[in-house]
Amino acid sequence: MEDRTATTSARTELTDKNPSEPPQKTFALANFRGLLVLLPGLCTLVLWELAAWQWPGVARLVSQPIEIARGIVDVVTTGVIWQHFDATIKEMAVGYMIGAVTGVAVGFLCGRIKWLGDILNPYISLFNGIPKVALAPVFVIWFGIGLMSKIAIIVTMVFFVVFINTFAGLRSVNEDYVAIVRIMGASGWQVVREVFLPATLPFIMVGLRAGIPFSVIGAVVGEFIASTKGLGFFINYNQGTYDTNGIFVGVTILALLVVVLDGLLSLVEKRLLKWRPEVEAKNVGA
Amino acid sequence: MEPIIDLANVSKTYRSKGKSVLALKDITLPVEKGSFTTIIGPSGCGKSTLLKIIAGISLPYEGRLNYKGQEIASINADIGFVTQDSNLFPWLTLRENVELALKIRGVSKQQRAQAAQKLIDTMQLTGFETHYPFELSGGMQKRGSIIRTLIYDPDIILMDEPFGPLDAQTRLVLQDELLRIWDTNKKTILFVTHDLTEAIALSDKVVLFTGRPGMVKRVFDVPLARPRNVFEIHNEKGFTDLYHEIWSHFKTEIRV
Repeated sequence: MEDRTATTSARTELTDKNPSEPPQKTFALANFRGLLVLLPGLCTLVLWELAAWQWPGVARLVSQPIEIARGIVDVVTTGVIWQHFDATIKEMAVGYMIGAVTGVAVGFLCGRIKWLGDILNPYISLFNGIPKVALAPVFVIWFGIGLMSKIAIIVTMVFFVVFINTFAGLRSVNEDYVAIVRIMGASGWQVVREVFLPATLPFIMVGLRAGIPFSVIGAVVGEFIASTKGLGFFINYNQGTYDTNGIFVGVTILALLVVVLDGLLSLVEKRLLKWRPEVEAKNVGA
Repeated sequence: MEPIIDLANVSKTYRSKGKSVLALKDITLPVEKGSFTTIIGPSGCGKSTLLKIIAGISLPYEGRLNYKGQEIASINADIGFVTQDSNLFPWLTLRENVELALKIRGVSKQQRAQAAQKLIDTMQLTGFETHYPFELSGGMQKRGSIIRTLIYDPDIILMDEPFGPLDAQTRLVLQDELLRIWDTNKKTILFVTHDLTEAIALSDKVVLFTGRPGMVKRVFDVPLARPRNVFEIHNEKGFTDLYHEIWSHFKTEIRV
């Protein structure tokens, strides 16, 4: 009887401590760090603006922040930008979706069907080595100057980055996990759902996030080569008229677009991967 | 009575880099239903391989291996397997981990929540149901990995050095808990360890393996009375004698 009591007390001691409580940064400190992050950006804008006032040549070469802001307000209020924005967003949305879905699907097939992966892997490495941008002119020949050629470029770019991450994720799945669910009686599909999908998700998310800037690059490159609308067309058009400010308006809109999309995806990622200790640690700094 | 697992002349050969390596040789070992059997041997002697063969995840093998009179030729879902690492799925909460086997078996949400809660309570993990594994201590993770196996009520539980990575105190506490669980439900347990004290304290029978290729060197019965107290067992009279006897055979197998 006495021994049982001893056991219970030992056990209570073991479970009472709450292990690995995530360290809480104080609110003030987090705010301070936020300010520090903004500081270099603000300094650059201010110096840039001052330099443009001082030396007119600077404004001719790289415009100036206030003029860029005014330009953005202008194209938005006059509605000039919408057809371009609309075209680029459509190309990106369709191209990104197709590239991401096929990247995940082919990544799964090659990652889990060993012989298929072994056969296809060298070819995929080879194609991945080709700068996709160099294929853009071919796609314009194949698909014309409309949305299709841009979508094709984006698909190839997004596909590879998503595929490679998915593939790497599947090849790194802990085989013990697979054995555990199979011993529990899992069918092939259940192994995919309960182990492969969640275990690979962090890798897929890396690919999906990396795919966003690629989809912007793909769209802009395609529009540079041949198009009648789109943000890349807008930038190219302004280059033709030596309108530096117009170029920077387009570039800024593209940059903002990437930041917003990446921010949205990172929110999704945080929700899906809340089981990862690293994600919590990263939040504090970011 | 027919043994629940019956191994006769089981051998296992691995092929690696064009060479074949004999991991297990002529293992003959009947395991009685409801018994607690421990396999002990030097590292690399194929103890873990034997468990994987019995679970049906390391096929094929040579020889005869019967489970309830049937040849084992595929994964056997009547078996529970507790691995050396806790291997709780990091993306599931403790409760979801414990429920997993029942989810796979199509048990209703309500029923599996009930079953999981009962086991979580018996393992003193109450209050940690919604914690993710990274938020649990090593001992708590290990408890979780044991009850996620118990939840589907397997006939046999194979345990591959389950307490190896834990600190000495936590080990004792978990050995004690394991024995109490075993006393109440009388599952057949086949337990692999490299710790002789643990082997004697827990089991009815200690099977000593030789170094590679693993062969059964000798089988020792453990006549110590049950229920046992793992915290004090090393002071019992019969324990020391048996320890020295097994050790005298064991130490000759440990050569680097």
